[in-house]
Amino acid sequence: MIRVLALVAILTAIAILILVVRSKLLGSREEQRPIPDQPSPAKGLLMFLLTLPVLVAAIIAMARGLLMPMIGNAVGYGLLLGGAWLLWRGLVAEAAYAHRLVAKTPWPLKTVGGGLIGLGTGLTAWLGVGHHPGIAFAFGLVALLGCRLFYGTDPVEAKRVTAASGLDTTDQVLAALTQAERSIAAVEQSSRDIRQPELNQRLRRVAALAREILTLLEEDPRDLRRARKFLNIYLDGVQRVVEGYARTHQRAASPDLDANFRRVLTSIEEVFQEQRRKLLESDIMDLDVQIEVLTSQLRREGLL
Amino acid sequence: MPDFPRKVLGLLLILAAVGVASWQALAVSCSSPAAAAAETARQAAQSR
Repeated sequence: MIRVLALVAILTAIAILILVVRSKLLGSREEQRPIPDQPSPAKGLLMFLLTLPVLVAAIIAMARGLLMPMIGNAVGYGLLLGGAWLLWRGLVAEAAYAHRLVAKTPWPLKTVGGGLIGLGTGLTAWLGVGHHPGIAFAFGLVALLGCRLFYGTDPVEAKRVTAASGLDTTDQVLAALTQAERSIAAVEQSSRDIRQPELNQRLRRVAALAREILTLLEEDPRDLRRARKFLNIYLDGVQRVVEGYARTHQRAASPDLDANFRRVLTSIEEVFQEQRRKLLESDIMDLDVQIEVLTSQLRREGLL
Repeated sequence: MPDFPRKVLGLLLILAAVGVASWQALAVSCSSPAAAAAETARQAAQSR
């Protein structure tokens, strides 16, 4: 009877662990940032699944009263779990870094994660299995090397952007983009509290337009100066209005308020479309100038 | 080193180290009662 209960407890713990890890790895829809090339969840799950026997070993060692193996396995599993988690976060950070055109150097999460995996493997081999410390050290080293080769190294260089004056404006650009991302996320979050399909659809369109504008700004951060009004005034304003409407809408329904909000959203959509058009036009103008310069250069050299 | 062989080698090393250590730890925990008794005796001797 006790064995059956223990088995049920272990299986339940494993099932909960898998569910937690899965939800954390895949992330909830709310938390997902729009990065098209997310790392494969299988790559992250590998380490979580591979280390599960250590958890079971720790539980069995505890049930059998084996102190040192229990401590070794429990601490080893903690380190392995922490390492697996950091490796996954490192992969996500690397995907975000690869996707962004302006980015700071990410934390060396994969390196630290690999280190923890090495340490956890060594400790498990030493105290959990009972290997000689030298052999356990070799286990740790091989695990570290394996992580290094399989997961790769962390990005080391920041993707910087320089203004026409020669000043490094990376921090300013990143701060503005992050703030704008936060505002868009807040708008999307508030729109979930609004139970009107038409307004929801409109808000989704506004958020998509705002994201498109952010992508354009990231592609050419020189436009950031021109788009500051959009970022500081419109986006913040939209966030405040949508949050306020979502709050009031929940307490009391008012047709006048709905009509006003609908009107404001229409104006916002128009402003955002105008902003996008201006940014695209500016890109076209830049390209026109570049083509003109190239054509005159080719003419001067007698190639045209 | 090219990407594919690097990843395959890395995966093999991870399986060889992390996988083997994990399953060995489980095997030792589930090993015969004699081993468990020896371990308990060793702990008792250490505590004395």
